[in-house]
Amino acid sequence: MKGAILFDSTKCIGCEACVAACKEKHDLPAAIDPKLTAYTWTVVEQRNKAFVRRLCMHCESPTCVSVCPVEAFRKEPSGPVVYDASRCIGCRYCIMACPFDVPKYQWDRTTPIVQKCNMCADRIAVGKEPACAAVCPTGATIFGDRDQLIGEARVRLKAAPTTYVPHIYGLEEVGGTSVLMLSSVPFPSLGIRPDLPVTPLPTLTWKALSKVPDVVVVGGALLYGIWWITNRRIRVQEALAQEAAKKG
Amino acid sequence: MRQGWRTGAAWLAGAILALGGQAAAQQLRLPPDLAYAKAEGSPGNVIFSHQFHVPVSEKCTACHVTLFRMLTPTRTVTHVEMEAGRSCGACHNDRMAFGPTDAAGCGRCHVGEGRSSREPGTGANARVAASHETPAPH
Repeated sequence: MKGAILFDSTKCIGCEACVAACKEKHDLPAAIDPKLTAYTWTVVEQRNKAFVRRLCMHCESPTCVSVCPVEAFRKEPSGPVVYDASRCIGCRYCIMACPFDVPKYQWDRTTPIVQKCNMCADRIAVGKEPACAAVCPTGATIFGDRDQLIGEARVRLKAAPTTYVPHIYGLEEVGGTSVLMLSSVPFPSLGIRPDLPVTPLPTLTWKALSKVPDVVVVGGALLYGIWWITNRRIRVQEALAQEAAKKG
Repeated sequence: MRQGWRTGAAWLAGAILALGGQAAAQQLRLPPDLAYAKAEGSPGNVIFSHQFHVPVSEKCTACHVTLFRMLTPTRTVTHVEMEAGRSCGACHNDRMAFGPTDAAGCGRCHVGEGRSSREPGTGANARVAASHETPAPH
C-alpha cells in the first residue's frame, strides 16, 4: 500500500485538532506558530472563508530527496518522505529546493537540524494512520491507499460538482504528491501554488546530470586524442631535429 | 495570562453559541466520554464529555495539547493541579467556568460511575447542560 492523505477543505472546520495531535506525536513545543516552522509541522490557515492545511506534500518524486547531497531525505515505499537528522550536514539545499516551502530549519539552535512533517512514518509502519488523520473530528483529513483516495476524491467531485473546484490538487502536480487536496474555492486563493509543472521537478536537473558520464567519457577520449596527436608531432619534430644534427 | 484571555473569550463565545453549536458538535467524530480514576476520599468519578465541551471553543487547541494529551489521553487529574490553574482548573476556576467552590457542590463534576457530567446540572450552566441529548451509556 502506498499511503496518502486526502485533505478536503470543505469539511475542515479549523479546529486545529490535527495541529495539536502533531505536536503531541512529535513532542514539539505546545505553542502553535502561525506558519510552518521547525516546531510546527502543520498549520490550519483560514483564507477566503475556507480552511486549508499546510503540511509536507510528500511528493512522489521529491525535490528534497533529489538535491540532498548526503541522502538525509528518503521517499519511503509506504508514502512518507522522511528525514534522517544523523546524516544531515545542514546545507539547507532542501529548503531552497522544495516547491511547497515545507522543510524548516532550527535557526534558534546552536546545532540545528531541518524539520518537517514525516506523515508519522513510524505509525504507518505499525498499521496506524498519521496522528492528524486519527484525531480529525470531521473527516477533513483522511489517510489511506493513494489510489483508493484518488477514487474517493473523484467520487466526491462527481457527487457534488457545484461544491468543489473540479481539480484534485496533488494528482499530477510535480509528478504527483502523497497529499491530495479538494477545495470549494480555487486553489490559488488558498495560497496553494497553481504554477507547478506536472513533470517531476528532479527531471529538470536529471536532463543535465544524466549526461555527465557521457561528457566525461567522450570528452576524456577527445582530449586524450588531441594530446596524443600533439605529443606525436613534438616527438617527430624532435627526432627529425636530432637526425638533422647527426648528419650535420 | 494571554492564553487565559483567549480561553476565556472562547468560553464566553462558546457559552452563547452552545445551544446553536450543539447540532454541529453532534456530527463530529469525538472520543467517547472519559471516566477519570477516583482518588481516595473523592465523592465520585469525574466523567469528562467531549460532546459537552466542544461547543465551548472553536478550537481543540483551547485544551489540547497544553492541558490534556490527545493520542494517549491524560487518565489522571488531581485537585492539586486543578487548584493551581492547570488541568480542568484552567477553565473551572470559579471565574471562567464554575469551580471547586460552586454552590451546587462537588456532585456537579464528581458524578460517579454510570452517569455523565453532561446530565442536566444546576446553577448557571444548567440551561446549556439541559440542552444536550440523552447521555451515552457507559
